[in-house]
Amino acid sequence: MNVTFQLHTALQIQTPAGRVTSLQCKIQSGQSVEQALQALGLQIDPEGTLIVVDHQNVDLDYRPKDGDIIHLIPAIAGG
Amino acid sequence: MNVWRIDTANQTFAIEDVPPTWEQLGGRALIARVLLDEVNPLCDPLGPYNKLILAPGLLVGHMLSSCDRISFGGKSPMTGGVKESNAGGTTGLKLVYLGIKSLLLENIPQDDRWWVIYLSKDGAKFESAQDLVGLGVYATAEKLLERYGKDVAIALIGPAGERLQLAAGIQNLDKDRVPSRIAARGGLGAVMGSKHIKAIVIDARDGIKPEIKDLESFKSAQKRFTKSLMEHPQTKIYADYGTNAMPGMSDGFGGMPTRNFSAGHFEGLERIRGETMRELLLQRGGEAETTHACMPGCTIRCSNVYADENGKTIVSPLEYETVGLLGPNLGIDDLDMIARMNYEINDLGLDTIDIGAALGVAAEAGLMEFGDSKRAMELIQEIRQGTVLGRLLGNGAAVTGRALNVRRVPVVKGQAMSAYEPRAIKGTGVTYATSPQGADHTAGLTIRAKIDHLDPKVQAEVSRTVQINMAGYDSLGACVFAGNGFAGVPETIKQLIEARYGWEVAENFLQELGKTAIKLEREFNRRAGFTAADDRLPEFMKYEPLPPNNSVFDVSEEDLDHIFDQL
Repeated sequence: MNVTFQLHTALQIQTPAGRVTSLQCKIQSGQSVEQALQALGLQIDPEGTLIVVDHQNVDLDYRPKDGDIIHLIPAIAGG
Repeated sequence: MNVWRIDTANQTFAIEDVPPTWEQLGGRALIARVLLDEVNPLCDPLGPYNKLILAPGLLVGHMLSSCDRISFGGKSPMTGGVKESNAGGTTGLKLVYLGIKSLLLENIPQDDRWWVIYLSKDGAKFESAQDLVGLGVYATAEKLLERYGKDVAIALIGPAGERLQLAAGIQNLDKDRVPSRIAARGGLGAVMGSKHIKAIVIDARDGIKPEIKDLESFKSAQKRFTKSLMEHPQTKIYADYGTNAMPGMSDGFGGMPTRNFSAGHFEGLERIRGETMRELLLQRGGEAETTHACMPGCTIRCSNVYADENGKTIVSPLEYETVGLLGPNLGIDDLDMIARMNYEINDLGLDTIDIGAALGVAAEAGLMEFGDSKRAMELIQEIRQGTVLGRLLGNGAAVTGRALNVRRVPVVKGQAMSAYEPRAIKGTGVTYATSPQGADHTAGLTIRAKIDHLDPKVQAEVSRTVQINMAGYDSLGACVFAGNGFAGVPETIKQLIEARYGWEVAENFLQELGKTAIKLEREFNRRAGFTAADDRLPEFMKYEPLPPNNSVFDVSEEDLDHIFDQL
């Protein structure tokens, strides 16, 4: 299954070639977001990060579907 | 500390003792108390019986990080109810240095003369402002700084306030003397204009820092609060991206107001979001700054300086609510144009939220195409020129919608919503509906909560909690974002207050203060004629599904009506 992690603000990765704003990966069916993040080597603060799929909050144990776009958003309180 | 009372009809002033019931209130809570004690809730907001109230928060005066905000208040000409609007900058700090607990501007003059009120340790003096009439905010501030020196604080209005336009705010100098910190909401600039006061200049050079009863305890609490604030992950995000870190989050929930609140996802998001803005400003260099403090001593530094491709300042700051309402809400994805519109609206002394919403409504009425930034700027210029259409737009979204016969008008109690779509972030919808202030982004946002934002049943409790906390912070003079620091060490609020004043206060002083503010505000509104019918979102949000969630606002009326039963 292919899923895409969309990285927001502080989670975006600065490289000499430019900002990396998303990462795509293949995961096994039934794997959780947490397992996918581990496989990618991406570390997030679970308390301070919103995980949003289809415009809704999900947890680290959410099992992505093929083609999911998973937003990782360092949470802030507003503007 | 004293109350300074100014009669704008007779150009006189008096210094009075603080009434005992006002002592332990500050900022927003004090404004509500003063309004109930002294202002007829049925009065004409632009007439002689309304008052313009300035009240620094209880913690103002010590350069405690992000805690020197000034609250302005009065009966709102926009909502017809209670109004408190606060700002950063230096006004609050300097008022406290003069020992002013509250400054009350009363009455209205009977002639055409305009005034600067000059406050110093010698009292208040009226000085002519005839040479400033009609000038924009930036030129006015420059002239006043030339006249009074660089060390003064200034609260001033632009042409919109002079013309009594309902979306007029009151601008304040930031720490670099830019008049960009606006108490924008609810038309308090028009109240100041009704009293023919172009500016209040606060000269605290001979003022004194307020006494702290227990300095050691204050410093210890200050140290813990500052550490907690600086270590909070949100602080770094605000420092790096400013409040414009928000678009990705709002849009992620399908809650970015787009084309006059008709959609919750904006296809031009990438071009306006904070990550793009930061990269652009770093590339442009020159005067551009990605992080900037609006108040002396602020460690968050969420402000910025937005510069053009030559590194010359267009506007400072460029903030999320402005980007949201002048950007996606108008279908515009050009940050440079949004910044230029922001500057013009600032210079007129207007609220970017209500003007952005008014332009969205005007677009809906066919006066501009969504996405046409050139036409949007022309409409803003009509406000400057004072054409009939311009005067209409300068009164904000509610009046514009009524006059142009638009059904989709995103207001509550006559005040425009900020950049969170309440059909996607329903808890914020509850706040918009039930806040005594009208739809307001500082009254209690819920987007941070890890909840199902579409579930109508869980929203009221979340909204209630944040509304009480926000009303508390607004009464302390604390920026919303200082709350991140206090959240980690909540006991420091009690310690700071007790050390500063020598009082004994409850463990949950913040919440008690917030509840007091909301209770008093609701009572003022009740006496002004407000009912449960005023605590509702516009009807179209109940039946018009919002893409991409295709959700409507369906929090029950019972939840809205009983949210503050237990105050």
